[in-house]
Amino acid sequence: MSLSLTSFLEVMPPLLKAAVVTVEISMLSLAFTCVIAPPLAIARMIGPWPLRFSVLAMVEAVRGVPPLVVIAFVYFALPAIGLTFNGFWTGVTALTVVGAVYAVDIVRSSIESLGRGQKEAAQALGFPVWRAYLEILFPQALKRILPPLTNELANVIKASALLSVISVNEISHVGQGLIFETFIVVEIIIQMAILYLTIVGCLSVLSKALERRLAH
Amino acid sequence: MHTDSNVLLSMRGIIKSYGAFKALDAVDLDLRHGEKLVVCGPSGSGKSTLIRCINHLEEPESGSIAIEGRETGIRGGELIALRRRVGMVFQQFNLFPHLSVIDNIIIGPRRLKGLARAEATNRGMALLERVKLADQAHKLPSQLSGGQQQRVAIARALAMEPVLMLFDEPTSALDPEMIKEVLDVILELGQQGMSMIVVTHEMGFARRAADRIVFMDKGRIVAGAPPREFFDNPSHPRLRQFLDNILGH
Repeated sequence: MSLSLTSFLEVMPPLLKAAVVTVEISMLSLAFTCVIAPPLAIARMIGPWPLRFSVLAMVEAVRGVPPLVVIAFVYFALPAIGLTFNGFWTGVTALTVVGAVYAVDIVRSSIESLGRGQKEAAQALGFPVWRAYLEILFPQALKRILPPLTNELANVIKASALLSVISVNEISHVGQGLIFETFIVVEIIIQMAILYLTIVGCLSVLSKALERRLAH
Repeated sequence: MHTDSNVLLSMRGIIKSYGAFKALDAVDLDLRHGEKLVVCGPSGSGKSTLIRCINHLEEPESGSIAIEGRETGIRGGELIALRRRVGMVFQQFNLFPHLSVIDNIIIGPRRLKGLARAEATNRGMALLERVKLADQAHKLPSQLSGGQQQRVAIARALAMEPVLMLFDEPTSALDPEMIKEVLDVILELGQQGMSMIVVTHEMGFARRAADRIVFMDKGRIVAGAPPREFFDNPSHPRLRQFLDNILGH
């Protein structure tokens, strides 16, 4: 087997374009995950029981099925109730849901590990319990949340490859297409791997930097 | 309901149990404005539970608690309002470790009373001055000694301008050398007229600082008297035994 620099360069432009789509979908999913997971986790811990039960049910349901099934569900089943997404937004929605259910448990267990004294101190000052969770316990738990959350978000980024089944033009779909079109195989696979590594690597670097800032 | 305007806190028939264990067995307790009350007694006698019932960190099963004649024991908004008027200092300090000393102090006034940062910081610095820690304002709690952390915790509670301060064994987690600096702050606070209830084993402090000392055993208040009478003329056999045990060596 010999690698050809010409082949490598030939497939680079379309793969880079696909990488932009992967990055867009990933960034949006990650951002939405980070926004919805903390309130869901707090609802799961101290919400009124219907809310608690709903979040619990969602977490258990989504955790119990492969991400591919979640993607297929959003793409094929949600239109039945009037929610129609194109491939791109199917990806964002499905990956947000997948990311959020894992993040909910990470946030919950991190907050619960803080100990009862912190919650009591906030309550004794006069914080209503949900504000104590949101404004005092959650920011404090961030340091514990970040490392496992980074792992989970890396999984979400990699799960974006599954969007190839609904023809979203992200790295995996475009890569597969190029292989069948050009019969260049190894160069494409190596390039796909490098692109994923770079994206996940950026996330790790960002997370490490945040973690250092949260040192307390 | 008490109509005596001099009564700050009035507790009647407070019962609290954990399973079969009666932590509080029909406790009555009154506190006057400006009064400094020390609560002592053996472990498990209900001292901490008693003061934790006052700001409803523990919910009593029955009985009534009134502050300035207004009955508490409610939920929601009134409970929050009550907690803002009652400061609490914990055995384990419970400072917020991710916030600097000054931010620990001003987070309550800023978030709960809507004070502007500059105003809250000014007041916070004055409080730090009072507990003699103004030079530590920008450190994290973990960079302070236990005694310093507890003084910050006192300043944090004072920042909400409470009418009553509750101290739950404030020196029990401290190195012996740091106990005095914390007790001195509490003593001074009392001299300035703050109403307070202090759960403590520090009998020297009780003798000097308290207007009245109550002794608890098995979920009941079994004796209560001003310090001199409390120590020199213990009225209850269990109290005599307790004092012998802790003062006897």
